Amino acid sequence: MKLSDLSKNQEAVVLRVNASGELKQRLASFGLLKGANVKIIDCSLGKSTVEIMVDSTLLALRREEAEKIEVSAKD
Amino acid sequence: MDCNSCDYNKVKNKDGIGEIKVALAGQPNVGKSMLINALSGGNRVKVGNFSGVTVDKMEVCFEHHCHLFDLIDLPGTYSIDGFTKEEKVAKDFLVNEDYDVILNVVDSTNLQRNLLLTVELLELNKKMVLALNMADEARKDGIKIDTKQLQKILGIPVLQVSAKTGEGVDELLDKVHEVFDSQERSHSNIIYSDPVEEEIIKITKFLNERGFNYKDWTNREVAIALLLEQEKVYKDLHDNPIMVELYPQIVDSLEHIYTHHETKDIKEIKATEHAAIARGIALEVLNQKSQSKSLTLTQKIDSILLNKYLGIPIFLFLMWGLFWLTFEFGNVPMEYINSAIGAFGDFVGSHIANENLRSLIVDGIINGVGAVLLFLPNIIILYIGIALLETTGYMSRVAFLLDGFFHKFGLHGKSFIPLVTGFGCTVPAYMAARTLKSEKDRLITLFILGFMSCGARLPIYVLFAGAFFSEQVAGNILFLIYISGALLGLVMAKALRVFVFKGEDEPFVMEMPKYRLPTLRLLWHTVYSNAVSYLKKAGTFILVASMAVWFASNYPKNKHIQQQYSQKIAQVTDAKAKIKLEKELKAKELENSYLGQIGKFSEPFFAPLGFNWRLSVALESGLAAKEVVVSTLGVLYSVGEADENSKSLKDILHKELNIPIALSFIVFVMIYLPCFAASSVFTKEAGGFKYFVYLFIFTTVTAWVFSFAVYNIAKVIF
Repeated sequence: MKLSDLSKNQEAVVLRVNASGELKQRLASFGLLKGANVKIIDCSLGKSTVEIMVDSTLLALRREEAEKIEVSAKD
Repeated sequence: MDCNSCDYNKVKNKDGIGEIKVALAGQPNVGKSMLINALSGGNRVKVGNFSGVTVDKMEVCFEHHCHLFDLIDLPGTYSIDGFTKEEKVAKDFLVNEDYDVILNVVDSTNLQRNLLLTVELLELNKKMVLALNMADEARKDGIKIDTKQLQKILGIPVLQVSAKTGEGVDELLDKVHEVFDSQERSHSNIIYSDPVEEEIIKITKFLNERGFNYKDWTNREVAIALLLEQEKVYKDLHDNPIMVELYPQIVDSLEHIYTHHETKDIKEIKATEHAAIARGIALEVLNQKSQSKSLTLTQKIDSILLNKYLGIPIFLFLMWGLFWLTFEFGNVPMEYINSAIGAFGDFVGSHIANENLRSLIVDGIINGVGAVLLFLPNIIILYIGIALLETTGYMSRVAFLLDGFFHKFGLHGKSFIPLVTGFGCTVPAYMAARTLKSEKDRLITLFILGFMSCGARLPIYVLFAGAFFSEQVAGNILFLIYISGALLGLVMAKALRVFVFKGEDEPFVMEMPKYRLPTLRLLWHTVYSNAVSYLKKAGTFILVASMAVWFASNYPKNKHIQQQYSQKIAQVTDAKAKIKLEKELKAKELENSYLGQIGKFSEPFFAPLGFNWRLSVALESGLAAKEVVVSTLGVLYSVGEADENSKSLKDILHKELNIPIALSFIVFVMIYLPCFAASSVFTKEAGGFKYFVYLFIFTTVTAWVFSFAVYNIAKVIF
């Protein structure tokens, strides 16, 4: 499933980042790549931006970007 | 060592004796600026730009235990391998410039992510010291870091410091000094993943067999650099015969690594390796029982400030407070400054006998530069506000809340603050755009900022709306002017994004830093440096510009007209008639000045918009400052001291012009080039004179087209 499909406070592990170039590098510099633990903290009105936690870093992403990240939810 | 015992002249000697050049690197929000403050003891900070780019470069020189430290603050970056301007600047400096020691600052409360940069820096194989900043906060959070073990793994000295409390700051400088003095550089004991290690060992073995040597690097370090494709090393080894044999081996090794990582993107492989290393190190040295308290607190605050329904109202309230303070509170000292400048002008004027010189100094320089000084209180208040928003971490939340709306227009959530500031004064608004980190977002915001009508344009609107509409309607017209300006700005932003700043959107991936209370010292520093840079501008560029405008509106002097009028004035005895004649003289002089000539010359350009030469001159004089438009109209229509409430100017305009012309004029004022002060700030912030040319063309064409349309439509309606 996609990172954008997670519900609030649900935890997951990143499986794949379907991005290239700048976006991929930017995400990686925050440690957001295969194997990272993620969790949705909040989203803004209309879900246009989401706040996530990667390991112990809080990150803001646009929805389009969150859609590019494949995760597997932890139960 | 005691400082009194050393030879001061030797220390101050600039030719290298004892000078230690330190490159300060770290991720954003690790308290780097605060640490610089603590290290240098508040010494003078040199602020400039890295050559060729508009990235702030901060440099501090200070003396510690008889050694001169030259600290260069690199831009805060999460990585040095990225695409942003800051990342390129940092990398370029670290790889190509000459320095002695890298001082890597990390946030102890977020070690794992910070180590990503540390590992990248280690691969540069330079002398390095690691400062674990915010040690006090980490302790409070119950985070324990095994520094001895960390030191062992990284192979560099590791110190716990706190810029806030001053803990470990002295020791840190001593340690940097010690590392600088040491003959040999220590080597890291970082281990990569098995498949990569295998290839490293193969290549190292080959290099060893050939007795290869590169700088002070071990062959293992060379092998790592070759496998991770460090360009600089390839460049340096390019002509070395050993490469002939090395190439096939590297290709072979990379092939293995690619297969294992299931990608051929070396940057991705590097990132994955680094992330694994950072995770491994964190596991080994970090002892943390539960999630840190400060992070939990941050999440709690976020649940209120980022609340779906409360978030935006809270934000709007904070903004309203900031602008209320800026423009209401800032107006108090403004009045004092204004009268002080006036008094100063009178005082200076009374001591200069030569009329021309007096006019130049009082009317040209003191008034021109004074108009800029006038905004200093507003700018200081606004800057305290923005510095607070930035240092507490709220600014990122603002972007988070508003990005959805602004992104539709090709802007960034953070654009909001400069845009709203623009309604007060465009000068601080341009400076506020600095909070936008992406170049494209920042340029688009800069280009449309002028459409937010600044306070100085209000008198023009009041005058024209008052002259042609009844009082009730005039208020609505004013409101309409502001709203349509803002809407036009948004539409233009979209247009710029689609037609000019093309290409993919910059990704919106932003850290939401933990909430922190800023220290007074840091606030003071930010505000002070901004105020100084603003004043410097007033003292240089704007000084010259005011002289030029003064000259253009006073010369050439027409002796003939002067004589004619002085005769006439001498003949009349009635005081009123005298004043009337003096005004006429003023108007005639302005008409014949260079400014007037330009106005007449450009009349054909403005004619399709319905403007006569007087309106044209007023618009052109408005390039100096928008306040001047009204007073120029006053002079040209010979009503003497004019302000927006002057009855007679309103009446004259009502008689001489009509509604279509008035609307067309309002639209032009709304859109065309901001004043000199603002334009010069724009040029500096955008990064070059060519951008000013673009802005000039962009605003002039837009203003002309819209005025033309409004004029012709209004002619049909009214």
